[in-house]
Amino acid sequence: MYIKRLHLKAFGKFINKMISFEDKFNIVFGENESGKSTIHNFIEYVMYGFDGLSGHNRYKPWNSSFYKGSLEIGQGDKTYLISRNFLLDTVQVFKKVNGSNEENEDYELNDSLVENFDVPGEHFFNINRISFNNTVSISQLGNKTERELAGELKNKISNLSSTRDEDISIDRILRNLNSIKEEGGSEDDEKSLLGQYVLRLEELRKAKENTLISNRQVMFLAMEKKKLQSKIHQLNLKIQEKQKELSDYELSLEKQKVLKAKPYMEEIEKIKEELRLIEGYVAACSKEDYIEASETESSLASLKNERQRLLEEKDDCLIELKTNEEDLCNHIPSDFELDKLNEDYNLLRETQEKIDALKTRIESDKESIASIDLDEINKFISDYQEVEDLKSRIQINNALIDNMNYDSMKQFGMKHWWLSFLYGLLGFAFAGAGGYSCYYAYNNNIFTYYYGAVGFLIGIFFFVLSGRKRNIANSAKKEIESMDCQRADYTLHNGKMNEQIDEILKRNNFEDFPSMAEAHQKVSAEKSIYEDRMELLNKDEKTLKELMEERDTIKERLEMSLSRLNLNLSRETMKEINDAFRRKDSVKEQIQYLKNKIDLLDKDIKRFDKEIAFEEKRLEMILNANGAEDVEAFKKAVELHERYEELQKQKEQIQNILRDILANADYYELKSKLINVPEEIKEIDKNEVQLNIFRLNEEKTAMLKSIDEIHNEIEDIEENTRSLAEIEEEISFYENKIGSIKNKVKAAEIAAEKIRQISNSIKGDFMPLLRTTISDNFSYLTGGRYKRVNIDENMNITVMSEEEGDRKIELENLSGGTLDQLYLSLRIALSSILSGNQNIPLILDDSFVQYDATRLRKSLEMLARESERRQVILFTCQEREADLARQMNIPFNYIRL
Amino acid sequence: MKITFIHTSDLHLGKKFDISNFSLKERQKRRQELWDTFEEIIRTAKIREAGYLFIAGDMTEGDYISYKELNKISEKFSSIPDTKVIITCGQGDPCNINNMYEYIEWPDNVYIIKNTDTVEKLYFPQDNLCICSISWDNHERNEKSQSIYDLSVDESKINVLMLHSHIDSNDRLPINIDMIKNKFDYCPFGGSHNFRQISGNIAYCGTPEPLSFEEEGDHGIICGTLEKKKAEYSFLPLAKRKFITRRIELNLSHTFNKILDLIKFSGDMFSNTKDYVRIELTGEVNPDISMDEIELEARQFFYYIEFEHNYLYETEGRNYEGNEYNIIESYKHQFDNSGDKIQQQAFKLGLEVLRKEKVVK
Repeated sequence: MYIKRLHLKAFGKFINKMISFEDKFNIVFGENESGKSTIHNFIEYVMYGFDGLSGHNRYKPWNSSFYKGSLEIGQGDKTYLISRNFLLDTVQVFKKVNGSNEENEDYELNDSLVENFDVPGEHFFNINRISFNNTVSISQLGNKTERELAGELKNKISNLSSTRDEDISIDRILRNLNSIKEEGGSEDDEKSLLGQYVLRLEELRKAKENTLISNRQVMFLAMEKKKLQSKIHQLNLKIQEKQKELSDYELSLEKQKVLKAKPYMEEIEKIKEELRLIEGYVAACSKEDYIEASETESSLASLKNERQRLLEEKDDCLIELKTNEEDLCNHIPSDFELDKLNEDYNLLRETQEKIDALKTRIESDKESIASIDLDEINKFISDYQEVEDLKSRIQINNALIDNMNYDSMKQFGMKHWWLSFLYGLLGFAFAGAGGYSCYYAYNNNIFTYYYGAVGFLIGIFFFVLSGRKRNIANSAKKEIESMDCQRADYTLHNGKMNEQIDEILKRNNFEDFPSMAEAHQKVSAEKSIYEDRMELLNKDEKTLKELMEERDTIKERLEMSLSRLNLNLSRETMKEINDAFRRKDSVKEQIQYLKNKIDLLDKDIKRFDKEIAFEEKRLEMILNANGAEDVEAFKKAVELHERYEELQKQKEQIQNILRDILANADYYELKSKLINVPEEIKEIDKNEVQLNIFRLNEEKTAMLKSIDEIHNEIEDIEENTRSLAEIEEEISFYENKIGSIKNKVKAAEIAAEKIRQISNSIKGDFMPLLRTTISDNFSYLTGGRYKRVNIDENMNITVMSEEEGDRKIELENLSGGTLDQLYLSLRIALSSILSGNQNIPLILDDSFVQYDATRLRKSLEMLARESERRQVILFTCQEREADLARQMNIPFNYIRL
Repeated sequence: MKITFIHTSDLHLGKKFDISNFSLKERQKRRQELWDTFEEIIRTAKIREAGYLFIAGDMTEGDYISYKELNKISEKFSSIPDTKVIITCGQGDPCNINNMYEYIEWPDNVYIIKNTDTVEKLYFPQDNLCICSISWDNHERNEKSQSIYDLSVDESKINVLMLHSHIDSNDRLPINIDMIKNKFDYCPFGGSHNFRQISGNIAYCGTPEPLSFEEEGDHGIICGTLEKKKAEYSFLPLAKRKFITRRIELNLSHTFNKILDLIKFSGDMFSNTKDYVRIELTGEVNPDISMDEIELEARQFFYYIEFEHNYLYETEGRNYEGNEYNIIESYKHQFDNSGDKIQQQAFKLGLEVLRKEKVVK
């Protein structure tokens, strides 16, 4: 059987790579990284598939969507094609039809599908992946010394003989299992784990025993406690009984007291009732205070009476004083001149008489001129004067209109106009003469004629004069025009005044002015008479006025003097004032006397006021101190209080008696408490009963103390005792441990036994086969120099050399080359045994890298020899294997990657 | 007026734990947790102002509870003076000469059923409530069922039958439910460690804290109200931890990591870090995978984990027509797939040693 061809359609770096092998010796050369390992692994993966995900991803081509390849195997005259799709992880095996095109990639179409093998390697090589990797594919033995190599080979053969695995040592396995057993140890061995656990278990069982004893003790003590408690209960009952006896006796004694106290209680009840009635009205007040209060009140009353009398006297004095003070004489000032007043008064009376006489005369005069109408006269005179006035004004106007001025003005104007004209003409004449003279001189060129120009200047002089005269003539003309206007005005005004005169004449019923002048003379005479009388009257009135003014002055002076005294001017007043003047001094004396008296009275009153206020204050204080509103109420309160005090005293006395009887007990409580107690006394020895109770209590206290002690004892025991649960848990824990260790020991024993059995069976079945196969191969490879390899029962390995007369040679004594041959023999023997003598290919991957030339030569020789029997594929990264093979004339198929 | 009650049983205070994989420390911790939960029950009774606390047997582990611990229980009961605590003795704390209950000073609100031959009646006139119960007097048997059937009740009262009974057993106070269900208004039962409602008015409350892998699911107490012919109640979970068993079926394609992940993600992470988890491994395992290593690795992700090895190593192997390559292959064929644990252990151990030898090379 041999690998005929590899087709890496897409695998690793190879795309569509074909590699063909010969069925004998093949050397595959490729430098590092050229893909040797890839091809080596390709063979494994096609035959066995990927071992895990890492291999799958490792060779997945990055530049192709395919991931597949195939491998051809030649087996006799048959060729099989194993095609694997790594992507889908499917494999197909085809039987190749002879003559089919080898180059055809789709030979699957022509070839017949043999069967779907999961693992073609197991089918064709008859070994699993592990065996394939270990035997078919031989890695280098390493650069070891001959001694090391011999030792390793010995181990491998020895291991293989007992475990069929060159790495597994039966001794070590059994040693390990034994150590597990020993680790557990035995129950008898105190030093072993098991022994220690057993000891611990014993301790725990003792502790459990102790705890159980303690628990029983606790139970016993608890029972004791319970008993004591029931005894205490009994004692309590007894004590109660004794106490009842004692209390019954004491109750009947009490009852006696109640009976004795009863009449007192009734009396006290009465007092209390009365007290209850008056209690609300009783106030705390002093009798002494009351006496003082009543004395104070009477002295206060006499003081008040005296004060009232003084007040009345003072009022009388005041009235009298007021009368005196109001007397007129008191109001007359010291500078008042009574004589002058009297004089003025007399003068006033005389003046008044004169005025009265004058008034009478004026009255009669006024009556005599009342018939003359002065207004009519005055009106006529005024009209007449107006006519006269108008007449004179007309005359003036007439004089103003006179023609003399007007005419002279006219003449003056005309004169100047003519003068202007004349001077104009002269101007023209001189100017013309001058002009001509110049013209002539110019035209005739006679210079003397230029003197004629003087005539031109004269002409200009005349023109100026003419202009002035014309201006004057113009002014005179304007003046004449204004004079014309003024004359017309005056004429019109005169007309109007004549009309007014006529109207006045007509109004006064006169036809002309002389008649009116006549009437005016008469009226003027009448008016002068009237004016004389009026003048006389006016004189009288003036005199009257003067008199009245004088009288008013006097009167005013009098009134002023009197007003200082608030008096009006009258005859009575005058009389009164004169009287007052006379009594002035006596009144003053009286006033002084009264004032002195009032002062004295005031002092007295004030003194009384003070005394009264003091007494009132004192009374008020006394009343306030005693809570009374007035002395009367105070009196009542004092009486009530005296009664109250008396009752209280009585009550206290009775209460003292009751206290003596009842001690401090409450009567009613006792009464209700003892309502059912009979009145008669059952005599007992109280002291003895009390002594009994005391003894019982002592007994009880002792028992309670015992209970406490028991309680403490229980606590002590429990505190010093491990909990049963904990101990039992620990016991079961260690029992389990012991159990599991025992199980482990037992399991180790079983495992050891089984392994020993397997090993024995390997030794029996496999070792002879191995020995024979190695011997055959070794003999073949050494060309019969060594004919056998021996393995005895103790796994001592020796080789037998024909040359040395079947002498047994220890491996240590073999040369390196012979050991290599032995190693290869071992490998080949294994693959033969495992594959069932199928001569499966031998693949070597850089196995001789570290070999020197001699050793390599021997190895190649050996491989060449083996390649006669089976296919050998040697992967190498060096050219020297091929070169050496060529030198040695070894036939081989050289493949260069 | 409605009577409020709490029903619990099987507290097993002071219990000894026999779970072989529990470390000694864990057992101690778990024992303390039973006490913590007991205190939680007392707290619940106080908060809910429960009129009655029914403890239907096995309040303590009779052989293991100490005097001091019983006094502690008594003290706890005295902290709920308004709750009447009715205690029946079960098979864990039977009422006999060895029972310490007798020697403890219980507060006035505690009533212990001491009758073991006949049914004891406790009557609470203020609630018109009559509680009937019978205690156990030994750890093993109780065949006093007839005394329960013979019991006559006053129909005018609210009648409660409190029992520590294994209803389906032969000799552990079996009860025919039909005989009692119409006679009583509520039957607080103890004995079964899982919550179980037998009928509308009969229920097992289960243990407030589970004690082994046989007691999976929620654990706690029953809280309810009671009237004549009307019992209303609900289950209140209290347990600090659960016991959980998870089954994982393995096959030959499972790799090391796959098996580890299957274990790791077999339940929620919160439960993994709190509860007791047992992983039952079944199926076939490739002998090349070290299960010991997997178990060691898996422990990192759990508060507690243990394994039930019900899987088999694949030993059939591929047949090379007698050409087993080496001793390891031959060794695998030496063991049949029998369930014998010691054989399996031996196989594992030998394989490990052989494999190590191969690696050492």
